[in-house]
Amino acid sequence: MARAAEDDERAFGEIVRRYQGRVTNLISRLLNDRICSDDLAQEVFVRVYVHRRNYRRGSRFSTWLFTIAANLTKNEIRRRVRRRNWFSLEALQEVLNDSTSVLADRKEGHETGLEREQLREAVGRAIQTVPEKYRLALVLRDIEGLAYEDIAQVLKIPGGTVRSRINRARLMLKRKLLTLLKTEGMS
Amino acid sequence: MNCRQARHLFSSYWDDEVTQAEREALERHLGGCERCRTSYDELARTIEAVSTLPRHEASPDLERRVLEAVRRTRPAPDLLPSVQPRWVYAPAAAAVLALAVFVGYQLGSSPRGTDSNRLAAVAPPATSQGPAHQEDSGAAIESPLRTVAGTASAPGSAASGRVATTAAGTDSLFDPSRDIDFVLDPVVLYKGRPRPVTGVPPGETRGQQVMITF
Repeated sequence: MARAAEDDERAFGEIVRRYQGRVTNLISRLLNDRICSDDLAQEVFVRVYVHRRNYRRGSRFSTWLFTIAANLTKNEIRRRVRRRNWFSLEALQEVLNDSTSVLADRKEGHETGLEREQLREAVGRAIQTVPEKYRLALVLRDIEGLAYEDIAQVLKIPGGTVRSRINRARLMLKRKLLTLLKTEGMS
Repeated sequence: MNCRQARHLFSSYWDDEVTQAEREALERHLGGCERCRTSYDELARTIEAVSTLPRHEASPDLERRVLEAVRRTRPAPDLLPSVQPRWVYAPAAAAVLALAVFVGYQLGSSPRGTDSNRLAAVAPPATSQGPAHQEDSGAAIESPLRTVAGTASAPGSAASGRVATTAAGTDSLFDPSRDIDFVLDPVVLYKGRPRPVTGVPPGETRGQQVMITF
């Protein structure tokens, strides 16, 4: 990062290579939008470059990177809500529709790859029904595997709030997925 | 520990973020409460369903696109050598003023002008905000040439400024019918002192006042 701050393009390219997967996955899971996540990931790294001299070397780079990614994704989420292209109740309805079709197609003791894929898509959509602030904590913890203290730094909230949000997010998600999980018998 | 307290700890317990005392209390409760045991089991499966989602990989061309976008953010190289503006003190300003007056006198032998009028024609009042311009030849002025709104690009790059208004009349050093380009190193006036421009986004920026000093 120090070399990137000195306009070393190869060093910055190395940063992109190293973190592009995690950034893309984080955004994609937050938005459930594969196409937009690429564009947003690009914007994240451009912002990193533009503000590279603001990075303080004492702090962990991944935390700083995820902070930028989370902020940009939050803006995108709010933009979509404002445009009413995407509303949590509609998404929930899609989840319920998905679960119905999974239940209807399921053959006893014969789980197909298609069903697994449908389940994953349903889980992905269920995540979108979780309100934004809880969803961020959930994805950072359960998908990106960040520690509680790192999540606190990224979201700029106290550690206790991180704990509370993750717990609530998981409970919300559990209620939405209860039917699916019982049907799949995830054991 | 009651069921409500236990449910509050489910997530932290899964993440191993509980104290030893909390762990022991929760495990004791789960051992004796089937309902909470079932609830915890469902939560655990929910977390597993989320954490085992396949990862979405970045597009193969993301790195290339990022580097291209980054190159576009860099300012264009200077087309002309940049000139660092320096504040001019009164004696130097007076010398330039004298030169300007001489040049103005040579440019036109306008029948309408007294010396003070010619001076005014050479160095007209600024039409934008800024220090008042003196029309009296005896008064000190900060700069004989003062322009108004111009455009400046990001630091380190060539910039061009257009003089929104120029000196009036044929006595002017400039042809008022033509746009005039300046190469500028932009500075920001803060409490009357110049400071280099930082944090300016790439591309053109517009300034309210441009002062040229020699």
